[in-house]
Amino acid sequence: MKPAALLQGTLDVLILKLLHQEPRTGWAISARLRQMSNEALQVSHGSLYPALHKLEHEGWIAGEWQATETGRQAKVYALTKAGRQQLKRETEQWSRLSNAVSAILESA
Amino acid sequence: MEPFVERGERDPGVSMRGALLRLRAILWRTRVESELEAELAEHLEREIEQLVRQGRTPAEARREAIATMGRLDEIKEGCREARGTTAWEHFQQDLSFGVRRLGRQRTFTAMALATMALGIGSATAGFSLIDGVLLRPLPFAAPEKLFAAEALGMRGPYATLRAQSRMVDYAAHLGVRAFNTPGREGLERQEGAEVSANFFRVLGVAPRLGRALVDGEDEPGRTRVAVLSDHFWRERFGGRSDAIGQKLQLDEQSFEIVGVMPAGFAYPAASVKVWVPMTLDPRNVGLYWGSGGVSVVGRLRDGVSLPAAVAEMRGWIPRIRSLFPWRMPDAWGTDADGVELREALVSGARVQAWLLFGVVALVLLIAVVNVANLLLGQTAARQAELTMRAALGATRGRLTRQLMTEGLLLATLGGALGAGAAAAQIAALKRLLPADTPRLAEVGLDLRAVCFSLAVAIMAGLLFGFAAARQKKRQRPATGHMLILSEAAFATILLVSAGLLLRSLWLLRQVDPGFAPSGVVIAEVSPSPALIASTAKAAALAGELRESLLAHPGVRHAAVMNVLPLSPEISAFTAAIEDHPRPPQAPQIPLWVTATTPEHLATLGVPLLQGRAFTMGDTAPSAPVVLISQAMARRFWPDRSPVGRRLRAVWQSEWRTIVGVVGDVKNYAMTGPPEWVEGEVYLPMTQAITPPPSLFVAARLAGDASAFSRRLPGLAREVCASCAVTRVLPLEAVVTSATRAPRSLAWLVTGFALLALAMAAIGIYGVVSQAITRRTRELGIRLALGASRGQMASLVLRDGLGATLLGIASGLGAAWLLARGIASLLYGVETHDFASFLAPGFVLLGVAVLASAGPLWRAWHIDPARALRE
Repeated sequence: MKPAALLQGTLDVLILKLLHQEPRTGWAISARLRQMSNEALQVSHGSLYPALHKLEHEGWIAGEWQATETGRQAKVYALTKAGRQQLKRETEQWSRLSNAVSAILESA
Repeated sequence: MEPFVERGERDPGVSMRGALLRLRAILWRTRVESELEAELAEHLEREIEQLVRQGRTPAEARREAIATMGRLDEIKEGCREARGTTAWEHFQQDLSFGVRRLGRQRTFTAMALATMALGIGSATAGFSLIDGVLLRPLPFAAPEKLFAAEALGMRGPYATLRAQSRMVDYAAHLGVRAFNTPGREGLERQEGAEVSANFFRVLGVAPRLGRALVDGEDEPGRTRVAVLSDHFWRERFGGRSDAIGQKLQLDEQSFEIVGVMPAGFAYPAASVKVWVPMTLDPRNVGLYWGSGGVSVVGRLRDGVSLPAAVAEMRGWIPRIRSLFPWRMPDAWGTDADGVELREALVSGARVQAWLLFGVVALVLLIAVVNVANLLLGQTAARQAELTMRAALGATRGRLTRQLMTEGLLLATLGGALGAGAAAAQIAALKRLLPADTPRLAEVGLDLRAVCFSLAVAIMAGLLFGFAAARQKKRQRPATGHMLILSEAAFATILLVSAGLLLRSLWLLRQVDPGFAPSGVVIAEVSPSPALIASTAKAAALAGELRESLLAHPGVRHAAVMNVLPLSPEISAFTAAIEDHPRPPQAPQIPLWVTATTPEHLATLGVPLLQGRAFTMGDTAPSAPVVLISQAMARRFWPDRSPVGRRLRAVWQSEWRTIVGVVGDVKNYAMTGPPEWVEGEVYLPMTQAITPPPSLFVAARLAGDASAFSRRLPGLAREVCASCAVTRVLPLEAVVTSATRAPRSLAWLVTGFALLALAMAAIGIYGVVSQAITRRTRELGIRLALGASRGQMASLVLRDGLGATLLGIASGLGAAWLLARGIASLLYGVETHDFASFLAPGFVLLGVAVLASAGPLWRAWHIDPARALRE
């Protein structure tokens, strides 16, 4: 099966969710996304990095340059307080929407 | 952008953070870019490591990682967009593109920038004038609390009001007067003002050196003290601080210098060099209650409104009236009023200042229209470039932004040049405008003026960009017509204003002053006050001066008088006329008065129409006599000879007999006497009502006037060593300077109108010429299909001239409405003077025809074969 394209806007909430667990680099986020969705979700880097930078400008995540275990400098993103609230809001909205869509799909 | 995700409410801290990041991205662009580079490189390394761990060779791993990563440039562009700084980056690109374009098209750039600089420069100079004279608060502490208390007039009423008022702190000054003071080359005449002791405190201006006057220094018997202007202090004392405590001789009295005012302080006039206390001595009844000329300035105490203060002042009027040692008319003081000080100061210059501002604003509009037209021509010429950009993916918005940026760039450069041009124009304006224009010294190119020119430039730039963006799709002939129409309308308004002012100037110059100035030399001779303390002393001095002039070879006639013709200073008294009695409470008859010696008429060249002139026999003890003007004779005795009738000053009992009638002389101004004056009379100096403050000598010469002018000061000083001799001039110069103010205004407006006319001509030429370039093909087809060249010419002409005619018509309409506003500046011309309206229409039409001639010639010579092939 071809990897499904992400529904527009869902990438943001997935990033917030992953960063809610722990701070990660961009690469770690992309690897984790692939792994968690059993390679079903393919996030192109062309959309991941712009999304990260946008979230950073919104103030929901904060990037910081840190030394990694291999000793190289990498930009590590962490969820901010405003980001936690945003995650909560978006999660609620997501479940409302998916419930609504499921209800329609199952009744038909 | 997200279909279902609501944006979180922005908390200010969060958007602040975003703004900081954006600022960082703009200011440290390379750093942010290299961080992005590093972030993506690090990602790639990790990916490769992982693939190697999964068993790929390093080379395979690298290839695969790069393939999954996709195009790096695309990712980077996406990240840049996410920063929200692309608008800024595009702006930078557009800006540098615009700069390159302007650099390439030198002629266009030079023309557009010159026009903008001229337009914005003129408008900024006009704004500085308005701002400095009318808008800016006076340079005093809390100036909004200051007001002019009008119609008190004498020292006694002022001192009473000052002592009694609870709501207002009242200060006063007398009009500017000149003092004799020893200078480097003998006696000099310097202007000064007598002020109340609290004058500086009430205005709220501190001296730059020493002290100001202190309360009580206007009481009788105090030491004489003086406060100097900054200018006089530098000129006379070289700006040394030991000037304080030194003595200054003014009119042979010694004053101790106590302070120096700061440079900008110019009240009541810029010409004032020294302030001395006025004396408020109730025992000097005549001076205290009888002599006028006191101007009163009040400062409202905290929480007091101007109407309340005026009400308080009016409440005191009846009580003050009863304090006079003689009975004052019941009407005295009832018109007392308070006017905000700034209003009172500048009201005379208001119309002129607004007229000049309006004129330069129109010049600016024409300049803006011209540059817009140039830009539109440019936009049409770069159609190919714009189409190419659109094809390469530039959005409409992006193209509009590009054109906007280019327009703004042009306008901002023009504005910067304009600010420079404004500095030069302000200097020129200050030289051309009459020196007694109130607050002229405060006019200058300052931050406010620069902000004004910048604001104008930005508005013009947005307009340019907007016009260009609107037009980028296709050529709109209607735009060209609008440009011609508005230019023609603006230029018409300016030409009509100039026409009205020039016509009234011309009429003013036709006015017969009533005397023959040619060959007459005058001078002001100012004796120390002791020498003219009484009429007898003044008359004796005048007689001696006249004798010494007459003794000089070449002098045919000489006279000495208290006031020259065309004197801006008032010389009048209130009279009663024997056979024209007025009820005691009614206003009496104000008459202009010239006190003079024999030969006055012969010296100035005034005709004697009836009776006799003054002779040496008219002395103090002889029967009092008076000459009257022809206008006065007609007014009071229209059907009889006035000779033998009598009049007197209201406060004197002695009647003066009219012995002759003389021709009408413009004693006050070319436009006639002040309107409240009911007649003009001449008295022998020996019988003058009050001694003159200063004497004017006049001599009619047979030969060379310039040699005599050089001798005159010496002759006068031989008679009177303590006299300052100033203003040695041909009488013709007095006549010329009497029309100086209307002349400079008329020429200024005319200059701007001609500038506008030239710019309008260039604009019309540009539009018509562009239209023909655009229509060459169409015209070629018409020719090929059999249209005559005459028909084509009329087609082309109709295009430009139709819009011009409409513009002229609307300009005339606007001028018709606006002309009433300058009625007070006109003399002898109706505000709706037919010729002044008709002539500009024809001039402009002629200019439009001339401007269209070149393009017309091109249209006439279109070769249909070539036009079709191109």
